[in-house]
Amino acid sequence: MAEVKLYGFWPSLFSHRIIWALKLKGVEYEYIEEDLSNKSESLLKYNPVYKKIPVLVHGDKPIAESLVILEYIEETWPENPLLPKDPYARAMARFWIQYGVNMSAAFSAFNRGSGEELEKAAKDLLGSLKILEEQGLGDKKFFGGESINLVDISYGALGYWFAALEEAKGVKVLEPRTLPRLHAWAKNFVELPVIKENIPAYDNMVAYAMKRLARN
Amino acid sequence: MASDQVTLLDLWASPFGMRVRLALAEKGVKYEYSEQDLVNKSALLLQMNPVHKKIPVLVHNGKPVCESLIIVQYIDEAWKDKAPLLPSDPYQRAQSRFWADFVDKKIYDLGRKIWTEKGEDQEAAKKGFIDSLKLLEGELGDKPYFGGETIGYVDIALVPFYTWFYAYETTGNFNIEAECPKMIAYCKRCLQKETVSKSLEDPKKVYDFVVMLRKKFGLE
Repeated sequence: MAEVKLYGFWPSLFSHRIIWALKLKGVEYEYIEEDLSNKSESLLKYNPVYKKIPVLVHGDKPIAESLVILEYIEETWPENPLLPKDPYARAMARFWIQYGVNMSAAFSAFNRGSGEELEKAAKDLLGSLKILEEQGLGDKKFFGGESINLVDISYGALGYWFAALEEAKGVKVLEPRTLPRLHAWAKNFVELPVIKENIPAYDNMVAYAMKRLARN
Repeated sequence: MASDQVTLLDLWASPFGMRVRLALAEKGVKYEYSEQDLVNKSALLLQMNPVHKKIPVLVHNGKPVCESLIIVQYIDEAWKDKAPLLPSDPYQRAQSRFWADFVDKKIYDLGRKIWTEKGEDQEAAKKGFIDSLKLLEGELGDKPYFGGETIGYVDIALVPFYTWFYAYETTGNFNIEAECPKMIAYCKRCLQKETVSKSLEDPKKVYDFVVMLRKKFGLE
């Protein structure tokens, strides 16, 4: 069985997604922490196009981009499936994953903004998350139904990483009052043992978020 | 299957729509093409894509699939007995997904900036666009298509943008073939296939469309 290595960065939500998927599939792997201010030769060799983490290396074959890596993991280790079998259900799962990708500009605006800009960014995010809650999650416990799947994994950051950012910015978006079902989903998600044991301590996330804000 | 009802909600000039047309052509799927008015959106479009209200939308037996690359993957999986669009090996599939995603991240946005921006912003977009095409040329290597001997997922993601190159060149005042001859040779090779030539629009017509849009947005 070829060796699996993951090049990651401890606070990166993209890095965490891969860890969760590997753990859910029971895949043994070596984790390599990258110093993003001093990227290793290996990282630059394995991801010459973007020079970013996460990168999964299976044997000597590198895969970059977290969502591409997740689909690779799903196909290579089919135990404990994380996507539906039916083509239409798969297309819907991919649609909601892509919906999250489309929200990244709004998250960036929330991260960078202050005053009016921050208010507007919070409002935009609330609007998008409402659609996600109503049409994506609906009445399900998880996006994957009774258990989590790649859609849950793709939004997992909402439960801890985004919560830490909300605390650092002093603005709440994902609240029981405004997004009851999505808020409950986020709490349930981070309480799952496989997730809880594989995210940084909350205080460290807040400290990191505050450090980044001070730098900007 | 003979009983399949397939409709494509689309806009003739959309490279995203052309991706779906090309995938359907490769699979030999019969479908109804429905040209959409994006200024006065139809009730059907709003019903089939309530979240984004955009084209393309593939409606298969009443059920809508949205987002062009998601639609192409769906087509590959729903009509899996013919002309596979993605490779069977998981690592090769990952590489195909990576490069199709690269096309999505780079080609459309940079191309759009070329025909909507001016001055320094336009120059930066032109440079980024050429750099991206060069990276794609490197990935293509000596293969006839990104899919190898036959057209595949990355080809479907990329080649529709060729129909917009003339518009980019004319509004940006530069020559793509001079900088990326391999890319142009590749695109022309693709166009020799009937599935491609019948799925892609005439670049001159696309240019007229862009001129109309530029007037409309006050960019002239």
